[in-house]
Amino acid sequence: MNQELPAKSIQELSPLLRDKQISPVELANAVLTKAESNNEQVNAYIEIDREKAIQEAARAESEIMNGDYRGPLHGIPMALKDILYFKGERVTLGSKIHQDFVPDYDATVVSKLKQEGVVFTGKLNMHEYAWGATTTNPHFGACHNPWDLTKIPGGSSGGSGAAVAADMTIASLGTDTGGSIRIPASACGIIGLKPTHGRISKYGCFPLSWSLDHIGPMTKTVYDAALLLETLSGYDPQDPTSVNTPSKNFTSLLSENLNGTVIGINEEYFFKNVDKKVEDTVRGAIHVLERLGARIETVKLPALQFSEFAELVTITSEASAIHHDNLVKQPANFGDDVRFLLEFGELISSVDYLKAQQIRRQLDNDFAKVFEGIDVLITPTLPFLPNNIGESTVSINGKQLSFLDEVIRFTGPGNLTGLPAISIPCGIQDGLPVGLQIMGPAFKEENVLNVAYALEKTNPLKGRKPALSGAIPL
Amino acid sequence: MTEHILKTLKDKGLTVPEHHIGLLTAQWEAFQQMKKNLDQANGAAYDIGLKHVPGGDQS
Repeated sequence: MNQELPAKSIQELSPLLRDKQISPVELANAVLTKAESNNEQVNAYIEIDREKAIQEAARAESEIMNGDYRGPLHGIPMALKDILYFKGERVTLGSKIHQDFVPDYDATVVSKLKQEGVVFTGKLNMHEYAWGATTTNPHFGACHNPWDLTKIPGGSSGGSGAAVAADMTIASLGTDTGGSIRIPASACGIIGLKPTHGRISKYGCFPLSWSLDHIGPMTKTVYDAALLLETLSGYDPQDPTSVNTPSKNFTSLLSENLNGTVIGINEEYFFKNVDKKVEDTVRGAIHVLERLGARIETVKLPALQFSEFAELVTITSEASAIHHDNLVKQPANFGDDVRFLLEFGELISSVDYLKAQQIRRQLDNDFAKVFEGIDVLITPTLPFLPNNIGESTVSINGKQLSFLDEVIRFTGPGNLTGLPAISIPCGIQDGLPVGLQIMGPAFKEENVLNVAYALEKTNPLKGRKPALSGAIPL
Repeated sequence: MTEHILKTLKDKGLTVPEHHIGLLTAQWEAFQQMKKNLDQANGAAYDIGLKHVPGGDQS
């Protein structure tokens, strides 16, 4: 039983904990043992804190035994991306410059998880300052994809993606500025949900780009993503981008019934220059959804042709503003790739920045108009399969193209518009998972969750998991 | 172009490692290509919607 526990979802574990069939200490021990064992190969954790985790698990156990059960997250072991503030604990941001940074307050999301009785097992690897999508971290070592250790896990929340996929945590949180939740979710074959901008507070998360940053769940199942979303949602006056809109009981809204659901497909942007293996897999999943009752409609989104400009200008400008002082005073302490991007951001003009913001308004309008006629839009999450660690190019239909140019092409529009988007695995090619992205109207996360839920029920990975997790190897 | 890039960064107090110079020039040229069709964007019609809250966020 113990060895099987780390592979289970929150939904499976919660009743076992509530009904005292397993203890939080037993569960934490099993997850910590798996994390310690797999971390030698995967390097998903920057720090595993066994002693603290066992203490927290013992407290949860005592509370549950005394009848003080807090809810479905009580006693669940989780590790989070090392960019979220924990009061009095070292938070590195995956950097050398902040390697000894100790915040004096909890991030709002951390505070909410503490209130729910989550047991924290450690801090997860990430791309330095979240400014990149490989998680080849120069200070804490490269994180490896559990499906193929020679490949990247994606990023910037690569440690979260790898840890969830390899059963080194039951669930996690990531941050997403250009795709940093959805990209590792796609590369590692898990669920990654970027909610609507303003739905989950960013207070206590070190920024990469104020107007593009999001926090969201990275989980084994759609149900778990819905559960974490409803737990973490809510207005927070301490985050100036927080939106005062009612939260929803997303788990109770889950439905696999797709009758009447209209799925939009945009051929011009989201299916252009996609590796054929990825495209075939995603189109195959769309046909499955059609057979389940959904109707497919082709849609036009003209402003998407400018979205790469808008994403590049916005993220580089805002990131360079945030890191400007350190770039002047201690440039050698940045990793080489992050230093390069920060230098580039210093070259962008204010006129370009403002033009990019105008394009965001165009995109907002285009998407709003399209969502009047469809419930969700489906795209590939990535146009390629995960590349080798250390490579700066990706292969798309035999052509070697710049990783930097290609990696956020399909996820960036979700950040520019702030619309909710989820990545869910839809198949396997060359032994690596393929992610499918589902985007929805603002504050209608239930739309994307329901289509993902229906697809999940078809078991698109056929039960396969990374060999590392102890399941049957491919 | 390279001189312009280096001068802009130097004026901001930044030092650029030798191996970044070619990469920055290439990235800048790619960026200029990306901007070529921006005149079709008709962006001037859009208010960027930047909000400033008088009295601060907590007001």
